[in-house]
Amino acid sequence: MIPVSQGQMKRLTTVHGWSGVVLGLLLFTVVITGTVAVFAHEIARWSAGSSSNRALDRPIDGIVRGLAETMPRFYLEDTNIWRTDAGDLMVFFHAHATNPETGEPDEYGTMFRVDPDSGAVLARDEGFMWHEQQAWEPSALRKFLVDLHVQLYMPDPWGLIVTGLLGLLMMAAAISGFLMHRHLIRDLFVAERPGARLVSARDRHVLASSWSLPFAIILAFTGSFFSFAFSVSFPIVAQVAFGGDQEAMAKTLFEAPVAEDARPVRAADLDAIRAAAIDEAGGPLTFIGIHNYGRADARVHVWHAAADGRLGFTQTVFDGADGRFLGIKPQVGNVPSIGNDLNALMWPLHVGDFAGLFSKAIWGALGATTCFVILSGLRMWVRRREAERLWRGFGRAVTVTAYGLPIGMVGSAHAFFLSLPAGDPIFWTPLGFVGGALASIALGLRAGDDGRLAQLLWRILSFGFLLLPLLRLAVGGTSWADAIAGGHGEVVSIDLLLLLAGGVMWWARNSSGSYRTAAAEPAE
Amino acid sequence: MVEQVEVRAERRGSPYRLVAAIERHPLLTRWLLAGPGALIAAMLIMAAMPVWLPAGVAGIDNIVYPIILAPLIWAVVFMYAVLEENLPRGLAVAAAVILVKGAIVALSVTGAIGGSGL
Repeated sequence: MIPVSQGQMKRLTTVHGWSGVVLGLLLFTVVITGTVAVFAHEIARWSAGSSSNRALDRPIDGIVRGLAETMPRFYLEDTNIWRTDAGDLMVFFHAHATNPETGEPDEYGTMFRVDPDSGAVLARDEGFMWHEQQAWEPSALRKFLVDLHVQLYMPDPWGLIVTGLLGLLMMAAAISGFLMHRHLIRDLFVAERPGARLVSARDRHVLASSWSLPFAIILAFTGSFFSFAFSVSFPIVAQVAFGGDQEAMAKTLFEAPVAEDARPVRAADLDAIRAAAIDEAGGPLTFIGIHNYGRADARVHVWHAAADGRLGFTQTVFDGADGRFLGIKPQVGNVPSIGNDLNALMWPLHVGDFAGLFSKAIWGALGATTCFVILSGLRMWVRRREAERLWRGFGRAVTVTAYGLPIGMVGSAHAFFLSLPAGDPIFWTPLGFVGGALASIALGLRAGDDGRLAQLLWRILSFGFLLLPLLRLAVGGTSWADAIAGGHGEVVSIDLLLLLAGGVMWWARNSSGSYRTAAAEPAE
Repeated sequence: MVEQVEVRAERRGSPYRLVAAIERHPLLTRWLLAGPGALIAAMLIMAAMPVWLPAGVAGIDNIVYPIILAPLIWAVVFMYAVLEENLPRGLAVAAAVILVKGAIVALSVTGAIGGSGL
């Protein structure tokens, strides 16, 4: 226990309570979408119709060389090569031009979607391609869920600033909660007092928050880092450190520019570079970037997923003309440093991607616990003030948000699958979320009794879960047999999880005692 | 307590008047200190770090550390603003941090002093 005076305890309680009440529902939105976004790659593979591990593990030199020969020199300034979650090979030849729609510098060029086995071109698109998501994003569902988590679907940079502030708010709530603990160790094993009393709800809140406290602080810290790093912090710090000298900044942080040599040469063999990159860095290749393909000053940057014993991705650099290995490039700076190592730690710490599915599952479970902590805190706040009409209304908003958000997310998945065969999933997926959320709000406005509202929303959610795997298979998604044969366990796992979640919710609904408590106090 | 400060303020002059004003509005002062005050102080502490932090072998530590530490800096400043018992002292500390760090940032941006990245 950390000694605090009575006045300090009063202020900490105020901070802890009001930080939750003022922005708690938005914070719940960010945390619940983040909990789902931890499994972004798995969701993409599950929803994309066919799955791939995205590794650039097949010959690509012939394909890229053949496509490059058809391109005007201007488009070979930069070439990006990767594989989608559906397994297609993507090659994007592009240069830089001002986008008339945004007035900002942007990447303009030709993007090919290629069958990696036969080399057949499946699609060819031209334009400012990063704005044409349907050309390169196989899972609009993954994209929507991640965008919702990262910036709440708000325009740049406001979404990042809002989620960054929510991260700070979460840190304030977690630290004040930590300081308020009178018996930190005992609270880790607190048993719920019987009866549906306020103290019982408090026991559950304290138990869940005690276990998830370190995780909440890590998530809040890394989350606000990612939100603020490029939208606020980096421009300010770079201005002070380099006095506005962009060239000095680029040289220090990224890479010294290569001396220009525009002589045309035969580009180095990309398959030889792939083999050498794996020898040097280990870890499967996930992305290749080539600057000035087919010129004497060409550079090839190869990104590797984390190799065994490493936390973050690695980048190797090769001479694009003769294929020489030039070294391993840190994420920041040009030589290894503690600053680079710390920076590399932030991503795995935020998403739990450092020990495969095992660490992701722990992060997902702790994320769900944090959702429970937020909602149970809000419900306790409301129960203490039930006599006041305003707070009863807020309690209704908590119930609608607690169920409406998951219903909206399940709605987005339904809309994604329904629009997959013929429609435009990029357009319909967010609308599915809006539909689910608006329906929940409408039910919340009409329902007279909070318990009956929770009962109805609970039922809708359980049906939504149960129907999703069937809908996925009905619109031509990967069958269980094909998924097992192809080693794509995520397809079967997510289907089973949805069926289990829907089934357990349905069973709980029909189990009178447990359901009554759950329906009356969904957030506790 | 407030009366004593007000009496001293009348006798001695403006700093005591300021203290008296703070003591008269403790809630508003605490909100200003922990809200915009903590945010501005944290931002200026982060912005001034490249000037005095060593750049390290890669020349990037003075840029990466402030960016990574920014949320923690805010948390420390915010919790100090909440927990400080002596409100006038808390305000004085925050004002000193904002003035000193603000001056360092202003001098650096105008080129009078260089960041250690240069």
